[in-house]
Amino acid sequence: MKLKHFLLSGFLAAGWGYGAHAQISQLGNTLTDFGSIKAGSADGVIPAYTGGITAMQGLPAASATAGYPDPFASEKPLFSVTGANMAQYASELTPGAQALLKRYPDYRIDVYPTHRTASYPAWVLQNTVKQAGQAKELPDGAGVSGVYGAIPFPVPADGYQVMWNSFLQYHPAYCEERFQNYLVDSSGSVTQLGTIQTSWTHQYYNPNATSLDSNFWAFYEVRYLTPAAEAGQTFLFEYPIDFGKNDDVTYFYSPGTRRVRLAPEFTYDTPIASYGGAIDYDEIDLFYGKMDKFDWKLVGEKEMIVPYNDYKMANTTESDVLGSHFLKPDGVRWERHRVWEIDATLKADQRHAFSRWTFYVDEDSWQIVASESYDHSGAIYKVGFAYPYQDYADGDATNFAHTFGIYDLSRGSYELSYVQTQGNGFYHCTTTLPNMSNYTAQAMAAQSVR
Amino acid sequence: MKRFSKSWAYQGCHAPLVVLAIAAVAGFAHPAKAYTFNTNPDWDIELDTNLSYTLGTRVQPMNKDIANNPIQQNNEYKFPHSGSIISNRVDVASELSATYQNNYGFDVSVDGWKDFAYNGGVAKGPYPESLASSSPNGHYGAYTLNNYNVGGELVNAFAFANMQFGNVPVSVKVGRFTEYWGNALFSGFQAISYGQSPIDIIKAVDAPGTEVKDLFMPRGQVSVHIQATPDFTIGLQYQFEFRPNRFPEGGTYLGVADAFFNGPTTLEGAYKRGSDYRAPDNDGSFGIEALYSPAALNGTVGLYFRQFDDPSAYSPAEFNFTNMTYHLAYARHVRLYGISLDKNIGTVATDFEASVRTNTGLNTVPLVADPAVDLLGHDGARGDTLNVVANGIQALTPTPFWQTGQIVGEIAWTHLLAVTHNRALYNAVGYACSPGGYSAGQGMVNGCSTPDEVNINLLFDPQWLQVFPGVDIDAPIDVNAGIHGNGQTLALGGTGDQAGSVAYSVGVHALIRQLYNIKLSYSGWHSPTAKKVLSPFGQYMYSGGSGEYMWNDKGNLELVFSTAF
Repeated sequence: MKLKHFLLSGFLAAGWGYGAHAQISQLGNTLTDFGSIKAGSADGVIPAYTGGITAMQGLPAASATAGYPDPFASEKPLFSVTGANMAQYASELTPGAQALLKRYPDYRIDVYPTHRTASYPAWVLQNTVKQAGQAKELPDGAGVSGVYGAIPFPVPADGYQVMWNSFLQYHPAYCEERFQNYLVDSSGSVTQLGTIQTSWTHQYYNPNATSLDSNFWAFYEVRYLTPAAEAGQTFLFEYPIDFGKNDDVTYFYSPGTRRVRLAPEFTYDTPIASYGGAIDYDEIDLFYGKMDKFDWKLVGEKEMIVPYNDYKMANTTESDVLGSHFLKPDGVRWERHRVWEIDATLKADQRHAFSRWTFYVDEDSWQIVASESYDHSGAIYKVGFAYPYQDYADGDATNFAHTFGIYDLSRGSYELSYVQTQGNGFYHCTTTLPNMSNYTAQAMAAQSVR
Repeated sequence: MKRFSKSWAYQGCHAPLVVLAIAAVAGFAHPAKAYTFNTNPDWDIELDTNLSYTLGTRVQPMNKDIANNPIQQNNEYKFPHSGSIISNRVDVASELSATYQNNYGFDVSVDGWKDFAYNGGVAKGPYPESLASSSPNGHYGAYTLNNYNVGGELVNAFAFANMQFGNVPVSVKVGRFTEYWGNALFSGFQAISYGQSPIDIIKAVDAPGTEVKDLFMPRGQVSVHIQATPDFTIGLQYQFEFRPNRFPEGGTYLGVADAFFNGPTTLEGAYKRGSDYRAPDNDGSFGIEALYSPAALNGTVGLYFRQFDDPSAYSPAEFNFTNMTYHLAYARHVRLYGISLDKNIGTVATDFEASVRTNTGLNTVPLVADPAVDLLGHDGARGDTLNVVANGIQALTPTPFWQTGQIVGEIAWTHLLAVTHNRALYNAVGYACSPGGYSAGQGMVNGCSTPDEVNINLLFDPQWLQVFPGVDIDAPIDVNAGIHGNGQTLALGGTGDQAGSVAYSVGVHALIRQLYNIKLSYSGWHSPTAKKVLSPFGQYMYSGGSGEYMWNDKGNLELVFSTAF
């Protein structure tokens, strides 16, 4: 914990307003407009923030279809962490990374120079500064109100606020992507979970609006192109900003029935059958869903080794990325970044597959970049990492793709989601919200071919 | 639409079925995948092929009280013993779809099948041939051969366009395809979607693992959906092709009676199969739906109006006294007025629908014996019914007994509002079933319709994921039962709309690497039977029963291998 600018949660409960306001005045001064520490680390490992990737010059030519070549391809690892030398780096390794290093002697973490590449459009920065301190946290992490088109809690006071910052991290109004999902079972065999095409709408970041026109801040449409058995299956997820008003709404279109139905059961720790149960519904993007089963505590801000600027995930092959028991170390780039650590413990009166769940949220992008969950004996059960890279040719729409993977240590298997391995993948965002009439249950059915 | 519709509730985990053996022989060393052509970034062209192999065996021995019936000879003696192989079948289905810029394109699919169990001819029972056979020469009719032994067909062939008029998305499909409205999962005969497309009941009862979209038979039509606002949709449908349901044919394992329906060429050697009375090929059915999904409702309300020609016959057979032939007759110009609601209640996805059908074909006395009523057998009883369907789908949350899965329940109620035409032909208590009527004295056990009918469907499908590396297992159990009254319309192809009739299956299914399926399942039926009488040959037999009582001894075990690539 080289740097801290959080206030202890016990103190915060009494008067976070004062503390937060004191910090809010630092936005644009010692803090960036979106709340991270502007300065680099004292030892020079983490550089100062200079505007992210959109402010960088000389980026390789890129496009949605041509992909996003690695701007840092010429860099060599500064050092590698292995089972043999991990003790030396223990303070910067998540418990999940340590568990993988201990379990697999061949596992390796190649650490590269840190690049603070997260970028924001000017209007989001202005909104964030202008609205700082106005966002209201609803009880039990049920949502936020009083904020729009901004990081809601640039100076977070508790774990719930950090998690809502991660849900509402900057995502442009519209994104389209196509990618592959994989499950690698304990025997090391690869199961193709399919090629999936998605459309994201982020009503919360519509530059032409000043407030949400419904309780939903985003829609996410997921269409399976393969495997053949699931081709045509489509989901439409609608994400509420206040779970007190609406739960998630999930519509499911099945080619078998040629109908749309509501799927309220696709929540919490229900395993996703099409992933062979490798992940549960609340593990999509490392975490998404209602937070009401856990108590969320903000532990602090730490400098940690996490995957970052992972452009290989935008253009790789199965054999380059998938190892028998873990992602091939050559395929993953790790950097040292400051992250917020959140510790969620299961409430005594709640049931969930995990007894405890920890998250590491990047200070710049507010993306969850690492997680680990614990079973009811207290042992690490699953270890998750995001592998972020950006569509840096998309101007104000530039943001991190949400490639992620989760290791299941109890089974010895792992999954990798949203990776582009077959040359037909793409990732592309714009700042224009599409015609929302296309994102309804009925439109989903009407526009389905299968 | 009973037994076979169980897989409506299945999701992607129940893949179309296929032959592991064939895949291995063909040399798919690497996990196969749907073939995606990458010729041009604007075009997505996908070719998927499903292969399946089904091996089925009779489990229950012959029940003499069924087998002694002269009209059950060809059916019972085709596969007469416990252990007889009832299906040895390969199915291939290929689908090619091409999409331009996500918005324009076409879809074509074809099916082919070969069942080696049906290589022989029509089986005869011990009775004199003239009475026992549905075929004068011992050969299956062309219709039966095509559907049971070897055949193929064009399934889908349609073009589609997703367009924007100003801010209004409009989706259009033209060609041969399927489309369904309303919310019913199982109770197709009581659903708002009734008659929107015909059903392949042959495939349904012979290959219970088949995905439902492969059971519905597409028909030529135009459909337009207009998303007028984000919460309001109008759908229009005009159908220019009529196709009747496919029924289980006489002389096959699950035939209903030797001489029925489209394959047999003779009725007990005495009468020839004549021409059907049905809608013309270009029947002009149409419908309109309006769907409203206001945010405050958190669900969708639908209103529907349809006029269609019934794909299900009035009766298993009608008689033409002019030609002395028998045939099927189908009602025309049925009208349906419906309302639906789908909404989450807690974590249960619940659906509700209610519809009134007017001028709908009612359960008509078979082989009418009174020329004064209908000399040509071109019509049947008609009337108005109210149909109400409610269902719920709940995911199974993890327990020590299962990891996930689902439970699905549906209840359907039909109430007869009026009998409007040919009251004397209505095979119901108080009509043709009354003393002095056509089925005198048999009462409800002879399938006489009642004013109200209620049936239920339950599917319980616990799932265990990655039991072995790469293997997901589930164990679907489903039950369909009639709990009150007998159905007012002819719901051939299953049981459950007759009080006391039950259809069930219990299976275990393994999905290997999301690619290969192996499913073993037992299917059985039980329907009430009427009193025993002496057959013309002096042996006891059931005089009749409710529903498909002739399937009471047809319990069978099936093993299906399938893959899709």
